Amino acid sequence: MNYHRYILKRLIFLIFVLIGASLISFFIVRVVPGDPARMMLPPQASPKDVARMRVELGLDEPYYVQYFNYISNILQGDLGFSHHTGRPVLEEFKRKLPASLELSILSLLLAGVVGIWLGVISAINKNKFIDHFARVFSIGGISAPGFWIGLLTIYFFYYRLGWLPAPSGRLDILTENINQITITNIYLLDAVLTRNWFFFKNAFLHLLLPVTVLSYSFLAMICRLTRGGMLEVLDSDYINFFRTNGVKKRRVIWIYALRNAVRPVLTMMGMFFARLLGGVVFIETVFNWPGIGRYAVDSIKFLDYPPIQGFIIFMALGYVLVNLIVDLLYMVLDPRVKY
Amino acid sequence: MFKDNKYKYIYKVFLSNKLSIVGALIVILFLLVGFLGPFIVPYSPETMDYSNVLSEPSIKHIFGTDEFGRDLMSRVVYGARVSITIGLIVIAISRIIGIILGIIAGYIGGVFDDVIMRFVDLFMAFPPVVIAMVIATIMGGGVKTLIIALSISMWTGVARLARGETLSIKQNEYIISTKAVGGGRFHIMWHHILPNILPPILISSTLSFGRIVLSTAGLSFIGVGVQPPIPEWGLIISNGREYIVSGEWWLVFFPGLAIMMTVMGLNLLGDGLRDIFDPKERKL
Repeated sequence: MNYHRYILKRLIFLIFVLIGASLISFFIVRVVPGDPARMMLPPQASPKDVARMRVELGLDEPYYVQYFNYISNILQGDLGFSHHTGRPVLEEFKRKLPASLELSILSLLLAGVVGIWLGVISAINKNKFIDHFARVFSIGGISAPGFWIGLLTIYFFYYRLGWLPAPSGRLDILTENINQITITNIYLLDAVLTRNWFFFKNAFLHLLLPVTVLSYSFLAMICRLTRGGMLEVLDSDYINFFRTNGVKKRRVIWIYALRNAVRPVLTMMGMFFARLLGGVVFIETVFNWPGIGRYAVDSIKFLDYPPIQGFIIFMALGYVLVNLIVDLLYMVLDPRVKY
Repeated sequence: MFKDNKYKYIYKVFLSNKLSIVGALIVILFLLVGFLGPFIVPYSPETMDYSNVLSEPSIKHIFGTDEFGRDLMSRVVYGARVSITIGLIVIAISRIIGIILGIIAGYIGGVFDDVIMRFVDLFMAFPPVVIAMVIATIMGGGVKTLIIALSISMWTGVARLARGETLSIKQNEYIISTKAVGGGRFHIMWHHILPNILPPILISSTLSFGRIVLSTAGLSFIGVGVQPPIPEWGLIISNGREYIVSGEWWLVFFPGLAIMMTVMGLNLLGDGLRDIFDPKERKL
């Protein structure tokens, strides 16, 4: 299979994921008990009003027309109104998405850097103390629920030690009111751009626990994969070749070996990110983080469907984008791959 | 004679891996606690005692009590039953769906293979929590929602495994000769393929069980899984959540510890079993 065909095949699959997500989110509202038109109106609305609402919402059209309308609305950025807050869903997402992105991107970075580092260190120190430590550490990360670790860290670092702020979301409750000026809504970035160091410190302290906890289980998986890949690569002929030709050990390990050892990690990265996006839901609940995960969970409680539909679309979009990036990275990192 | 050696080998490999023995012991403890639960706990998990709310762990209440004065240890012990029940049901459903679709994809192939595997990829794109949220939106939270959601997200791995195993078994000469003497597709799939792909799939169930325990707790924690007053671990943690900032740590700590120990035991045992039956996958 050549390279163009591979990319084409991937693109078709990713479009398939998006269509799947849109179908799920389209039908979710149509299979729930109760009439969406009825739900948008106050209880005293007459059957006539309901009928008019149905026409207004296009619910009298056949399904394929409704689906077509739904898709064209999404493409125009119209995700409907939240019944609970009365605001456009897209507007809510614009406010909440940066909070989730800040959390998940920092977690992925932390998990990647520390996980790969720990994996390499334990591979070159196979069966020594650090290797055993990394293994126990990884098993813990894979076995313990993140929301539980999150609550325990709140207990220790906030209640017992008082080192970190209360889990009040992205900022202290008081600071939240002072800093209304935001540019990207990614607080760390905004603080740097406006050179507001007080704001930076506050946002950073609030990020510390959720990011660490969210990254833990991914860190553990990345560590295990890197270690396995590294052990295999270190055994190969070309590494011996470099070593016997006098290339420095550190250079061999961190550049030549790691480059190939990290490939299994990269392959799994798309799946990791999908799981990370899932993990965001729990961590946001624990730390009262005003992101899209908690928004979706709250919406289920209020039976507020449009935000849930939007959430499904956003998750699928995130998955598709990350997978595209991973595919491209894969080619950059391993020029042998010519599909 | 030959068979004897095989068991000796299994026994030897298993015992040489200390971690998998630890795992097996934890899993046995988990199962015992689950089955014998009602006979070993000192209190009923539902008895409330308002003179004794939120009391710290003590000799009388080893894990302390919750906001209704219910004994936490009894609730955590009953929680093991809930996890075992849900785990077994989800394992059964997801294995059946996964095996059937996996064998069809692997043995018949062609369009069936393409369609089934694209669906596997599609379902893998959504984390279990999102699938659970979709189902919970449609039918509300509850045990049924949880079981459906987890089965939907777990069958994909089984289907992949079953397909892979089927593809390799299909090449064997005995399958080809069965076909030559007129064995039908269904006959081959049922009598020759299924028995051969079962062992790896059953072994993978140990690892899946761990994931199910984790997901059950997580989904109940955010409110789309098991509903109160069933003593489920994630739900107990969710109840204890508001007390963590005022120092009542035991409500969160003990059920979480139970989850971690159980999942760790299942993971260690699963890794050990996989090492025995699939030496290729053995960790370096």
